Amino acid sequence: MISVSDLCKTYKKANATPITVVNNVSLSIERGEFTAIVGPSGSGKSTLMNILGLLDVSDSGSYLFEGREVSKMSVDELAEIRNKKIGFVFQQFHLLPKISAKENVELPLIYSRRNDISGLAEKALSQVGLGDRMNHTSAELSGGQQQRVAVARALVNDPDVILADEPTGNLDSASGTEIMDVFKQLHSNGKTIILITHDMNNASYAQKILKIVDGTITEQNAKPQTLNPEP
Amino acid sequence: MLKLRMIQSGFRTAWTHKVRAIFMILSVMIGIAAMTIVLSLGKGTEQKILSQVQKFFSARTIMLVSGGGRMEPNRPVSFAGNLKLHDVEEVAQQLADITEWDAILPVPGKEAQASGNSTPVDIVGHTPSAEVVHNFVMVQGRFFSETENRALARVAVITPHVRERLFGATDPIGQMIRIDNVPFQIIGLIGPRGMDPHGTDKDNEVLIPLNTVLRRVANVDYVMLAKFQTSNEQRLNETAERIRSIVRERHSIHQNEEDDFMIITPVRVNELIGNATRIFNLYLPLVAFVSLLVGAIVVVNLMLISVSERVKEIGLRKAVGATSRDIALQLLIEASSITIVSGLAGIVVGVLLLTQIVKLMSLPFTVSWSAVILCFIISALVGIAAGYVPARKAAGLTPVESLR
Ligand SMILES: Nc1ncnc2c1ncn2[C@@H]1O[C@H](COP(=O)(O)OP(=O)(O)OP(=O)(O)O)[C@@H](O)[C@H]1O
Ligand SMILES: [Mg+2]
Repeated sequence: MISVSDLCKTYKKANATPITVVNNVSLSIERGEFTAIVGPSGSGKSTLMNILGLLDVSDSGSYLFEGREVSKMSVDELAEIRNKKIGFVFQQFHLLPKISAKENVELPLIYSRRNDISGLAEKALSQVGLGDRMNHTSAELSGGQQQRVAVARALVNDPDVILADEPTGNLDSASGTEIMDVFKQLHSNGKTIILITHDMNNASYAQKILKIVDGTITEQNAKPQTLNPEP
Repeated sequence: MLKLRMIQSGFRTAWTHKVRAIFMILSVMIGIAAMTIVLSLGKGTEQKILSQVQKFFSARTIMLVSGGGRMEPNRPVSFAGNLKLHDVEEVAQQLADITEWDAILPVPGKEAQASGNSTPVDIVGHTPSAEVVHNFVMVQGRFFSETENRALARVAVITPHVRERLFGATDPIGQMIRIDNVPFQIIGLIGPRGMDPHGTDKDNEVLIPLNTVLRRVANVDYVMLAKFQTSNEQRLNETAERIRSIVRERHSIHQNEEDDFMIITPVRVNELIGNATRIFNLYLPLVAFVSLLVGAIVVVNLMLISVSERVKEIGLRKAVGATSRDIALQLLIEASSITIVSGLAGIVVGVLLLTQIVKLMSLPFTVSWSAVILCFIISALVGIAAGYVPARKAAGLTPVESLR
């Protein structure tokens, strides 16, 4: 499904030493796999995730998405893959503030060029437990609720891969568990899931854990149980 | 109509900035309304002057006016007395194109008395053919004849105000009117003609045969002007030139000397009207254009703010699958709809105000549609460019760059 080799991303700033945020990363993720990415803050998890989600481009290396080299795709092809095959949950939600939860969740549908989209946004919102908050704007929702809207938006278009950048970072443990149950459910429905998390409990849901330090994968563990979950 | 959902969604987010949208609409609206009013007033004024002038000046008319120099709309009437009736007669006789002619000598500011009333009037000497040359409408009685003119008959044709002031409701025909104690018999009444382009009230005149005025009232042999009606519009300039050379010869004017008279053709009249209406057609539109420009600048600024504020939104829309084209289309439609709506509102407001202003200024109601539409198109283009260009740029960023 996803196969990456020697991926690099460097930020250069005028009169500052360039920092390599993603450094020679190689990984591969099979269809239907549940992968967790862990690592300290600033280690480059989000940067890597953005590249995997086709939201950003790498400086070098190769990225095959379903066997096709991403750097050879046109911007319109990338947009279509982002729309149809990838659901992305941002670390900072990125909801449009003044429109309702439902309208936010509908955004991917609007750009999907599908004819029948009625009911889908409602369904996705119910799935994350927000069936009763559809017409609230983000300002009227708690942080956790906003995060759940962002999750609903990621899954509304029934994508193959869901990339979630700390989806439970702002949730209490109860709603965090709810969200993780949603991901488990999606996974058991055959979705490929990549999840960034600080929480080892959440990581334990994954079949594979990647540990990133300073932009480099230091551990690829297929048995998360061996990584002692935090109490 | 899949795009429709996209565009609707764009409007939902755009309209959350209502104050800004309203400012944009207002500023374009005011500019367009100002342009609509000013340009239309200019056209209305020109039409009014034209229709006034055309009452006195048809396309086949040539006027020969005593005194040289330049004639401007508000130049006081003064003349040297060197245009003789014989000059006019000679011109009319020599040129076959001239079908009718009238020679005129006004004697303004006389006191007229009749049936115990008295009122200041302007005496005007006309030839009998004046009735045809000026298209006088006889309301009552008749115009004077050639016989009466030749016989220096003391007959008069009066005008509506004179009739009102001297006779009220009684029938004036056949009554006597005394001017400088000389009695004239009223033989006719002509219909209202309003003000002439100099602002003289044509309805306060007493028309008397020219010869009678020359010999019995003014005791001179000159006229102020002559009006020729020609049969051939195409040869009008040629005819005017021939009139010029005949009068120059009769006045023994040297080759390098200036005319001591003036010839006015419809072409020249239009030039004069153009000068008179320049303020409406050039200076005021310039002022209105500045307001339109200010509006445009406001819109450009607000659009730029709007787009830069919405870079994040653009990034997010792209992240969930919008193509650059989708984004560009959405912003283009938003920008154009806001300018088009405000432009149309401006035209509506302008036209509504115009109907009131026109009433106050007693001008004909005309809207200079071509100019208004041009302004509208310009402002729409400005608004669209202001929204579209930065949007295009934002649409070119990667989603992460715009979301940052
Ligand atoms: N646009 C940028 N320009 C310069 N440096 C950047 C930019 N974006 C990210 N970085 C740097 O890259 C490094 C990795 O950032 P990234 O957001 O990927 O970290 P992270 O692992 O997601 O951290 P966290 O767990 O706190 O979210 C950080 O040091 C950050 O300062
Ligand atoms: Mg991060």
